[in-house]
Amino acid sequence: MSAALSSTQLAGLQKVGDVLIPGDGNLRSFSASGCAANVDVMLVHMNPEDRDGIQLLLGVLRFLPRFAVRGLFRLAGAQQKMPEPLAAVLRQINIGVKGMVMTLYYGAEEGGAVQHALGWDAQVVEPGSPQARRVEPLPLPEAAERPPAVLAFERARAGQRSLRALSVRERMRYLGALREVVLERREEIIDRIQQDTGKTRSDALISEIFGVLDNLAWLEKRGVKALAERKQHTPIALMGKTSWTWYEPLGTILVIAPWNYPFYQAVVPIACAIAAGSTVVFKPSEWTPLRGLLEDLFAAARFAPNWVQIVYGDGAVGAELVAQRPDKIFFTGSTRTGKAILAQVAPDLIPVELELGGKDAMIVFDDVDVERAAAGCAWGALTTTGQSCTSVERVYVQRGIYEAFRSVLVDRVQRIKQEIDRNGDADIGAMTADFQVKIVARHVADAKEKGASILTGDAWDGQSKLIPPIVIDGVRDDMLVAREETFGPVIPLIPFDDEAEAIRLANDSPYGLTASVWSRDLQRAKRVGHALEVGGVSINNVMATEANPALPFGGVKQSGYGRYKGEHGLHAFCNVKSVLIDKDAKKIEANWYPYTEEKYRLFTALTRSLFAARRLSLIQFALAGLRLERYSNRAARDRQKTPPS
Amino acid sequence: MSESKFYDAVIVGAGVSGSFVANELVGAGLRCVMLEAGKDFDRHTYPRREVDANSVLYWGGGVELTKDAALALIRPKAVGGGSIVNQALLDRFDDLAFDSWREQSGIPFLSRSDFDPWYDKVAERISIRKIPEEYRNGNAEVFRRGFELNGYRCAPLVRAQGDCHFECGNSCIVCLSGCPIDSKQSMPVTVLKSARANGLELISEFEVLRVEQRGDGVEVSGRAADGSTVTYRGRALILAAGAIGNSRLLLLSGFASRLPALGQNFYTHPQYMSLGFYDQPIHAQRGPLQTYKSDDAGFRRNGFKLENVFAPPVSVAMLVPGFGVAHMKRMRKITHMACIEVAVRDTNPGRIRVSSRGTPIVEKQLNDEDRRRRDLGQDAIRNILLSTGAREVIDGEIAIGLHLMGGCNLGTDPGRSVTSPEFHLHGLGNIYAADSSVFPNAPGINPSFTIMAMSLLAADRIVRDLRA
Repeated sequence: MSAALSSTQLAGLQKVGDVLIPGDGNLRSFSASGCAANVDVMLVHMNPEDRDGIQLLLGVLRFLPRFAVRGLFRLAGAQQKMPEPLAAVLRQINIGVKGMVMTLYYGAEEGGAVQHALGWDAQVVEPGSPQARRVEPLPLPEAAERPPAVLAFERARAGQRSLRALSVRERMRYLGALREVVLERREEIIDRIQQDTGKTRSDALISEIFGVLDNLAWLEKRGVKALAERKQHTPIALMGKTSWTWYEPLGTILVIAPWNYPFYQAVVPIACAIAAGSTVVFKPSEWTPLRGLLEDLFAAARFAPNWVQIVYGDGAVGAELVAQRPDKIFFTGSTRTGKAILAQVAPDLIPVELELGGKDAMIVFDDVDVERAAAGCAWGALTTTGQSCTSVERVYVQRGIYEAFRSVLVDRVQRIKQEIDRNGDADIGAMTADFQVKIVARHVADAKEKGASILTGDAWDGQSKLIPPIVIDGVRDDMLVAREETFGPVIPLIPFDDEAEAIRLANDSPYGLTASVWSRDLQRAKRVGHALEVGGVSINNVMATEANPALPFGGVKQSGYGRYKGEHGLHAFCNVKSVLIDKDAKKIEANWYPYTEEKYRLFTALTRSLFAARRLSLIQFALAGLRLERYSNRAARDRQKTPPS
Repeated sequence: MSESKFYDAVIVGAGVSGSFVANELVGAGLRCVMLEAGKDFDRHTYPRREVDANSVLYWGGGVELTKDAALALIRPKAVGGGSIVNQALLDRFDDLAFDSWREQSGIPFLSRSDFDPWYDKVAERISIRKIPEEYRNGNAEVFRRGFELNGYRCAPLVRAQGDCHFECGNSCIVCLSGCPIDSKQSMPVTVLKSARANGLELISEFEVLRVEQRGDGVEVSGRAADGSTVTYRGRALILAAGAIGNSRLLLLSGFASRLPALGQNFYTHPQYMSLGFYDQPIHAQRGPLQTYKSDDAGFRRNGFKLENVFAPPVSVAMLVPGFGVAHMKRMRKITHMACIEVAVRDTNPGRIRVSSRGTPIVEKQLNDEDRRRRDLGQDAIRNILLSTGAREVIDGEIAIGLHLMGGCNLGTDPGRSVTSPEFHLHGLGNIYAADSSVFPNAPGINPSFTIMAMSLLAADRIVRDLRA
């Protein structure tokens, strides 16, 4: 009985109480527990407005059918999806009524049956009390000093636990946050890139900022599907089962970035790894560390700090990191370092993706628009001051347009504006590293010595980091500019006569990263594209495969192996796990023991029916399958009856 | 009927601020009466069942909802106020908090260096200890380990407590409705005890309903335990009924027109608890209720903090979404739950009004920035719980506000603030306040320590004023 509630309201409370607390095992229902007897304790202390509301509500609920009461609370549970003020009313009902029921049921019992059933054993006693328990102190784990490389891997591996537990969609939300942060802070990032590399603001904007945003957006949009478990075909011989591929995290990936695109080559592989659920230890180039920037951006995108560990240092630090046995290494850089890494990890069989150097060819046939091809050539060879692994480093021009192409190119190149700009108003900037300046100087001097003519940039002193565009004519096969990676704003021009010669010249290189083929005849361009020993081909464009986040990136020969970017590239950051699901049953599989002469005969019949090119083979297969299955199960039972030998 | 006694100061509210101010005033020989709406419990009489605790120890019979019911406000009502029901966590404010207070209020002495001596004085009056990490429960271990696994930073909490005897298996969660062994440094066993010993007159179960300035003094009237109306008079009035209590009383007393900012600038550090369900027992109900707090510069910069918390069964039942058998099955896992909450340093001020029946109406909503802060916190919680092996993580169904701050905010501008830098209300030289109602904005740090320090600082001035 209640003094504060009418019998109707009390009945309403019991009814709604039993909907919310219907009982479960040794936990009784609301009404059976008798807890409603305490209701006055609650009502007396309520604000009058709240009490009136509750009383009214309980009176109404008394006359609602149970399904409607359930519906009401289901609706209240989904209030977040409701518009205000309906949502507010639902919240009031939920907190008011559910609160009352839960308080009475879980908070008002005298005997302690509910708390006992829940295992709730909270108590406070004086020392020496008979109820006192004895609790032993639990010391804290001691933190030992560890070298930075060890610590970085320890943290990144620890970070794996939350990252891999998140759904792909949840991980993509973090990449979305990163995209927003990069977009918002782009000018600051460009400042930092420019400080470390000396490239122009436009180079930084177009290749690094835009490229990063484009890849992040691709991952957000396409990554969820690319990483979703996939049902695969199950052949008829495995009837009744289902086959899947799961795209699971690899663990902790070591990403080592080069100095030419310090932002792009950091963020894109890291983002791919994060999308696929792997944490990252990242080592930037000691030439372009962008110190502190990435940590800051990842924190702003609210990555858990352990997900990406950044370790600064030179090759020796890199070797220490490699020695920590990452689950995979993603290396972009020189062929020499790539080989050293591969040698270091060989005993541990650590998978390595190598994005190495290139000596990329541009093949220009005589049916092209010379102005467009020359403009593409200038950009492809000079962007980022020629310090791209896919820079155009060899230009093969069909003899019929060679001179025209050369003069248009020289004209365009002479109009190039070079400085480390503050406002985006410069085409090319400076070289990043002194050692690379020396290599460029050596290549140019070698060409000159061997008789090539320098058409532009001859005034360069061989030392300044602001190397002007250098167009070289009369290039021979034995010159360094034709064979080795120059990695500077140097454009060697070489004429060719026919398609076969162009292919031969282009393929005559230890490298095989990308190439471009220019011809109005698409059949021919594609034919040449197929014949080139490279990882990517742009047709009638230059460095364009890299611009599409959906296309995988990587090379052949000395340019490395493995692919990243795109769906194929995303899977390179996964453990692609094959899964076959069968049902639990008594049945024995036909290929399991025992093997008998009879089974051999039946299996042969099945094999022939399945693989022989005959009509009606399906029916024969079905019959053979039935026979084999029946026999296999019988044979298995029979064998169990015979005593073990 | 009314009484004719005349006091140096009438203090409304026997919570943390009232107790600290009163202790200083009576210590200086001033004659004080303290009026408190709640009951005067001791360690033997604290309510032990949750239904009683919720009903008796809080205004509104447990919770009061904001106008759109998005936030459940928890407002203690007892002699000792928040110090009876809180976790007694003590943190000094950092520069970030004080800087934004100065900026908001225009008051230069709101700074760490000005407050440090007062924090130190508080530490002379109550026992302050680091919660012993070696007695951390499974919930604290999840918190610590989850922070470690994700690279977030946490630190052990500091609390106003004596010896909680964790070696006896004591569970501080019990003390949310009063500490049965008087280890928690609640006001009635510390500062208020000393004030009473020095002559403070304490009237409990007395709800003040009206205050007036009368001649040189103040007149305070309200409803006594027996239902009669009683009036107290004094030279000064100290308002220490908290953000909602003070604002409500002043609004009921018709001060709205004299104090245009009254009831505004209300903040709560909205708190959102998430639960992780584990295969192995966690026993969050055992041992110290809380051991760690987030101590992460990134969290602080982003305007939230995480706390290692839990709640008794009724509150857990309110957090767990849904109803019926599914709800009961989840409740059965109560000893296998870990719980972490995010407390938002809210930027969107709320507003306190009163209904025609005298009940407070609180308008308080999150803006986009506050929601962003909450979401960031919940993301971090998810990482922590998942990394430590939670099978399932659910966000609690209700949000709570229990750091109730503002409504009578400090400031130099009488048009935009209520309380002057001298801790009296603008234009009302003998009505003082130094509790959480005077906070200029949300500091994002537990307010208790600063309420204590500020009350000592204010009491110093009040004593000087009353002696002059």
